[in-house]
Amino acid sequence: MRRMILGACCLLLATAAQADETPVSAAAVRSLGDAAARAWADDAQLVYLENDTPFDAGGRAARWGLLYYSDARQQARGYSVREGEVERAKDLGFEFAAPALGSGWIDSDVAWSRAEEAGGARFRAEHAGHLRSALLTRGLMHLDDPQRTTWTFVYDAPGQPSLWVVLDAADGKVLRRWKG
Amino acid sequence: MKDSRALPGAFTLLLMALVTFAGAAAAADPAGTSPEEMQVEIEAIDRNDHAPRTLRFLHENRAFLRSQLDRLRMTVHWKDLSARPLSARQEWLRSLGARLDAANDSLDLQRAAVDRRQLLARIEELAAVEDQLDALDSLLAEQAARLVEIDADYTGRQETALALLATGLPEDGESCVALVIDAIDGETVRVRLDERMRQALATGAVAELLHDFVEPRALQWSLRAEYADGRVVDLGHVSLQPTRDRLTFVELDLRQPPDDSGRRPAHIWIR
Repeated sequence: MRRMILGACCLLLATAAQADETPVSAAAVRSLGDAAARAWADDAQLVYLENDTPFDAGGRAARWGLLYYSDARQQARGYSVREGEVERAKDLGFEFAAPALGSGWIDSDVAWSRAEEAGGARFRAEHAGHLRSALLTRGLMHLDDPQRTTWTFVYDAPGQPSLWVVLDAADGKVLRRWKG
Repeated sequence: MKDSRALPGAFTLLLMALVTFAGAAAAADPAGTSPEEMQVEIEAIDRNDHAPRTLRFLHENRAFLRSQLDRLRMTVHWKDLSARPLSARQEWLRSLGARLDAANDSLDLQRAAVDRRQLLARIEELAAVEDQLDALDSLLAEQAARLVEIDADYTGRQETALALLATGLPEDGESCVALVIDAIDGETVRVRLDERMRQALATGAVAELLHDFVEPRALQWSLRAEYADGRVVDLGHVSLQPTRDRLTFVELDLRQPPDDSGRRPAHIWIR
């Protein structure tokens, strides 16, 4: 009996996880995130985006975390979104009045391939590393040009300082790259 | 979208069925349920405790990202301003402000011009003072040169010499017109006294009556005073032996009378 129960649970969890794991690009969840945020605050603007689940081999992730900020509410609220469904919505819990992302940013799959070419793939190969996070911000990672929206890819490897690759989100050009 | 939304509902129903089934199994077993079975049930049902993590990087690097945000705020203001036409009153106030700024600028210019003029005047005054100081320096330098010459004259020649000096006036000095020095050797020196010189002697000035080389031996000079009315009064004599190769100064105070032998008191020093 105990085995049957455990088996059924595992089957259910595996099925649910499989549904979660349909990878999509960041742009694919943007409109759903915007709709959810506008229900929260009319003036909500997307200020931050990062992958909530690991990247697949094509620069896509099953869930994306989108952070919106409302001037009227003076508050930030995060949404974890997968294809067609808002998985979670929660106030951020700390002050983070970041500037709104610019329009016209390249999608995560294109940015990911640029980051891989810019040293990410080599770093992973040489140090058995992995892509830890990809985030889309405006100004935060490139203070020299505060108006610029950037993709930032952070690669981790055991015993190694992380590799940071910052790309111009408009055209994918590498702006900065450092280890630390 | 429909399928994906249906999945959690079916998942919950099946879990509830499993809980019911497990509860029945536990009731059938009077010995009680094992801890492992209870743990599986709780974990499977309470999905809220395993809510998907989101924005993990943001939370883990909260301090770093907020510091970047602070630095960004120091760099740029993100406030978007909506533009709209200025009202007539705002235009008037703006033009008023512009005129005020212009007037202030004019005042500043005038003030700067006055300051420049005052500065130039002060510079010119300083230049004049500097010229005066230069002239004084020049005069002092010439005076020093003269003093050096006099000193060289007195001390440079190592020969026997005598300087006969006088101060004060004899009795009825206001009408004294000349002092006459007669040397034993027959040489006579006459020193004329004008009004200025008499006043100077009366107020303590010292006049040089004689300055000449002399032999280093016993010498004597007699002194007489000539008056405007033609009188000649004997003022006594001075005797001394000048030191060889030195300059001997003899200062006579004409206000003091000679002693009974006709010898005049004198102040003598040698250089």
